[in-house]
Amino acid sequence: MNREMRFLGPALVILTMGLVSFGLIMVFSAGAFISFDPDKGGITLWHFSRQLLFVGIGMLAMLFFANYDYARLAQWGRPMLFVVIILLLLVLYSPWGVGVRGGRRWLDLGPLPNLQPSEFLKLAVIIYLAERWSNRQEELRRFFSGVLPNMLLVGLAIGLVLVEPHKSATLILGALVGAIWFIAGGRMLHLFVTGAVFLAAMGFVIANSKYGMERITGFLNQEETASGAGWHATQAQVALARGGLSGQGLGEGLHKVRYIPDPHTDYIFAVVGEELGFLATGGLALVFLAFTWLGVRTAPRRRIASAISWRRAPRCSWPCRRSCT
Amino acid sequence: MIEKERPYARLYLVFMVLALSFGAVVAKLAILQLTRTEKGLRAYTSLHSTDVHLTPVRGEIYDRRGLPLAVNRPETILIAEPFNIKNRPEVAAQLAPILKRPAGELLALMNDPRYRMYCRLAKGLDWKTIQEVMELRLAGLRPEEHPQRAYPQGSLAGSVVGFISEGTGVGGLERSYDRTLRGLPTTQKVTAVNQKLRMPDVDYSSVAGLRGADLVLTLDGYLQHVVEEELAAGVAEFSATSGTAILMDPHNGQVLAMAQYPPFDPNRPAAAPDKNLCVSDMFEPGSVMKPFTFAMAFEAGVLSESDVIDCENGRWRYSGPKVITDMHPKGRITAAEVLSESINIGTAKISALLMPQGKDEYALRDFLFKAGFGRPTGCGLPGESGGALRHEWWPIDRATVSYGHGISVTAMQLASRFAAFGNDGLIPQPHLVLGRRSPLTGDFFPEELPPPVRLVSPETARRVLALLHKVTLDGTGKDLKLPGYRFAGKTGTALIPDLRNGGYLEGQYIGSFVGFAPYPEPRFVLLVSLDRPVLHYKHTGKRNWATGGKTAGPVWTRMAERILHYLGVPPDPALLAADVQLARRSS
Repeated sequence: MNREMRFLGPALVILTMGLVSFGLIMVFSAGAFISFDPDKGGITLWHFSRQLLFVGIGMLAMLFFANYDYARLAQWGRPMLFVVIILLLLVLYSPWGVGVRGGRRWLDLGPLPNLQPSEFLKLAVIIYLAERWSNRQEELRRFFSGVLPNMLLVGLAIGLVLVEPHKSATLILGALVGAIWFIAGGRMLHLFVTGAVFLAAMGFVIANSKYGMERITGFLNQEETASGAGWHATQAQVALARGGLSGQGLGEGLHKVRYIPDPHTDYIFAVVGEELGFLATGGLALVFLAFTWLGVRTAPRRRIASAISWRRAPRCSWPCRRSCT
Repeated sequence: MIEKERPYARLYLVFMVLALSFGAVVAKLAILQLTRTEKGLRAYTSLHSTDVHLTPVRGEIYDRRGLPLAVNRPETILIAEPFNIKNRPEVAAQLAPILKRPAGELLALMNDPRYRMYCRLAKGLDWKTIQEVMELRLAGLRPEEHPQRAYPQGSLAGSVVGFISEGTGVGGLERSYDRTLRGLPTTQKVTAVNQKLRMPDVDYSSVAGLRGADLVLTLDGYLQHVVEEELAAGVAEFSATSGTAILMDPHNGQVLAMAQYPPFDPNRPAAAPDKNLCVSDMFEPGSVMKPFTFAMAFEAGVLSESDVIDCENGRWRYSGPKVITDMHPKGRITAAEVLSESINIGTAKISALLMPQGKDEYALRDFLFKAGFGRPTGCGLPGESGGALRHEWWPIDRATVSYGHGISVTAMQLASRFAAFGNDGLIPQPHLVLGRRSPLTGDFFPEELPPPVRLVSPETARRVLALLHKVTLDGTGKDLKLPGYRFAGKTGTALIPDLRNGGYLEGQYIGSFVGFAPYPEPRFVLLVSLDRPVLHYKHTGKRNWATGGKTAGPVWTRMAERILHYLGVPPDPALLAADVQLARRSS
């Protein structure tokens, strides 16, 4: 195992650095065009420079946590959760909350970039639940006196996110809670019943929201809605298809210019696919899987780590997201 | 160290689920990226690129000495992109004093949803104005240069050059050589134009390879000016309704000048009809056709200059009620005198000379068809008329056509066919374009012309030319003076058909003179034709018999004198001295 220890650390660092570098390149490519502004002297590279800033912050954080015994994070779980709940309340009910495109999700911090508390909620929920259930395994056996109080606390926070509304984050948080609960040793009956209630509730909310249903019907009938609700998704697929096996070439993507929204964030994977092809997208999926595997292998080293490593794996979906959060 | 506990089994289980979902993602990626063909995507990707049509720069038109007749003068227009302008009222207010247009008008233009992307605020701006606008440093404004057609010589050769509208030639050579001048239009694919990014301006120099070729004309700017000026003066002097003149080199058919009155200015195409009278107007030529009858008879060998012909004292019953008359009755005179005195009866009799020889009475008709009457000359101008030469002839037609009635010709037909008498019997192909010149390489491609058509033998041509010289010595043209030069020509005074009532108009004529100078080695053939000239006698103010010799003739000699001087043809000193003496004696 010592041998694996020696392998795990460098592998984790190399993969992280590789993903961050690749993310930088792709953000440069995806954002170069939309950040072009003739009024500000042409090439601004606004998205790239911001990404660079976040990478810098991320590096400092990485250096700090590399020398930090993450078991000590356990004590911060509950305070973090409370702070995030306050932040979420501020987003919703204070003048500092900022709404963009039909969702009140950000906190205006003046000169600093806007803050999205739901991202921190993920971290807080992981640490809180991991600490709770690592140290008090017996709680998992009882539902009403053991699991339910924790669920209510976490559910309150998640509910605030749903009110924003931020349905995708809600779903991810739900999955996160479920995964931690399952790994920590929750009883299957509890899990199934809670999961069913959660999914039913989400289904009800989505069915009653305007855009939620449009997204789903758009997904199911892509051809029909290609020019309407499914436009962006269709264009992203066209971008991917245009990439083919080896892509159009780095920087040669067309869809980042106009046809997909937010090519530097939500749709960056489409840009990768168009410019570098299936070799890159498939490879990237493999790298993320390897990254997850490294997390799984690292997890058993300390008790709490088994839960914490989940923070990394599933939500590190796209490179840029990593450093944004 | 590692405790093998059950919770880790759950961890690996979750990993397996994750790995499976990653596998699903990769599978979906493979389907999306590897199985969809470009063809299947075309429906979507067609939205991504636009074809921009590049209009090449139009070729320019020059005279034979390089005088520009039609050029491209770039016009600067101010373009606004209203969607890029945040504060339109303020921009309009700032621009108003510079562009000298009311701010409200500019604002209305910019607010028009049709012009959201591209709005022409002002055109025809000079660089000073543009600079003032650009110094305001306003976003969403830019100057754009558009090539604009200009005709720097104004109405000089205007009806020949023609004009364009919306980039397409609609008159004159601009129309008939449109494909040459236009160049090759191309389309350029422009992909993905972002809202913030302007479409790159087309750099016209980079598409110069598609530029249309320049045309070099046979016209000589100075001669054109001389002919136009003298024609206008002649039309004014004789109160004619219109006039045409064609100056041509008889040896190669190059039209050196082609004038009409009223003139046409291509810069203002709406101000006058753009009809080119020289090729589109046909008229009954009258006596100027007589040399063709003589040429036919000479060529057939049935006539000699000294043959005596009875001219019936001016009144000859041809057949039934048809009577041929002459204004100046003559008795028995020689064939040479028939032409120089322009006697209709004599000419009609000459046209009949071929009949006893077994030739049918269509000999004259066939001869004129061979000469190319009745069909367009193909000189290269649009809207060219072929004149009118009927296939079915009444017996009277042979007589009337022999002296130029019952047939209609255009000025271009007449001048170019007449040229054969000064070109050893060969009819040159009349043309106006010397060739095309590539604006890039300067290579010159001469116009390809059909070979000249032989009308008569060189000997016949010289005999006719000698008779035409005699016209100017003691015939209808004896009053015409060209000091220092011998010349040859034929007068024509043609009746104008009354299109409404049939027959001919009373007292209205077309006066023409076609001639060569100098004789016997002509450098040019020149036709002058005046429509309905009026001759006033100075002392009485009375209207008079305005013959071609008295109206078009003097205009012809005035032109010819200036043309000969310009061409550098030396005058004959003996003739010059005689002319001077004559002038002194008369004064």
